[in-house]
Amino acid sequence: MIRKELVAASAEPLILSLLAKGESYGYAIIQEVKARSGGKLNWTDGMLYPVLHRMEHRGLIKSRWAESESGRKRKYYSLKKDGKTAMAKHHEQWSLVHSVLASLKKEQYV
Amino acid sequence: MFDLEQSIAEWRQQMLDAGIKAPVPLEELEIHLREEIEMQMKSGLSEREIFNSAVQKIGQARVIQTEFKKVEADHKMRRTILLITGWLAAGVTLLYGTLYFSFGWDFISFHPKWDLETSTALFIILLAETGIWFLAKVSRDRTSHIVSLLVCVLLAWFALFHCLPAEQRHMTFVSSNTSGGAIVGEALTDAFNSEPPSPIWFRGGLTLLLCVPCIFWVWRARLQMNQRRNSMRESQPIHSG
Repeated sequence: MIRKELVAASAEPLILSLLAKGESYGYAIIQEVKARSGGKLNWTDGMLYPVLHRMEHRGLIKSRWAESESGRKRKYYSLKKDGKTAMAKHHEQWSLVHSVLASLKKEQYV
Repeated sequence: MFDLEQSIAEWRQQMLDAGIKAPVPLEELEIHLREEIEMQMKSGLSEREIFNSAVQKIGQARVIQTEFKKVEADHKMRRTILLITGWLAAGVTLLYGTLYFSFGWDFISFHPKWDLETSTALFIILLAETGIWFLAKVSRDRTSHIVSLLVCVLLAWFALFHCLPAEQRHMTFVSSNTSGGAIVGEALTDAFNSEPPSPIWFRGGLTLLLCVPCIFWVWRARLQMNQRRNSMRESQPIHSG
């Protein structure tokens, strides 16, 4: 299992990156994150919504209520312009952390 | 016999008791719960087990509410900062526009110059007044109320000096020279005294323009007070007999 702090820190970049593919809703976001992490990134489902609402208040994402094909009412979230900029920044920062970690790991095996 | 709808209704009540607001975000959470239940229906587990598992996955109501409270507090703080900045900017813009407007006229022969400067000043005044009307409409928290009142009072105080002819203004500023704003007072006195006297209707008009924010403020404060009174009346239990 991944540590709680890392799960919390990765929530925003993951949501932004998922929404960059197209609009989505809470349940689908959680399912996709679980599937992509092989179940290792486990969010408490209810905690996703305060994160989504905070991101919406900050103008990173927007939402709209709509009915799904099955007739269920859902709140769909999509990326805003500021969200795209924030996502690019997150990618840059996480890539930097990843490259530092990778280079340090490589040195250990030399 | 386990009743799924009854259990969902009880869960909803638990969420409401913890302080989670309806319809949003409670509705969103309920939709999530129902999606999870529907997804697990194929697992072969009983309805009770599926419901308990879905509720556990959603998390504890108090923990979720604590997070929503943080989001709300964060949002309120941002909003207050924006409102305060807006009030200060609108106040300064209105003051600047009014000063500029008075300087753009030919006071000696009093034939108004409808040039670009005067039109720009008028546009700035109208823009500031519209902005103040909007700000008065959306200012609901205590901090922005206090700041907005301060801006309105300062504008009204300045408006009084527009009403007075130049000599009286000078006297008032000289007598208030002992106060902290002596330097500002002197600067304004110089600015006013460099102008020839203007007719009372013109000064009155400018005074009114500077008092409009006060009128907006009082109008909104009264409306909000009435709304609060009505909601308090509605929330009181109805006693029969």
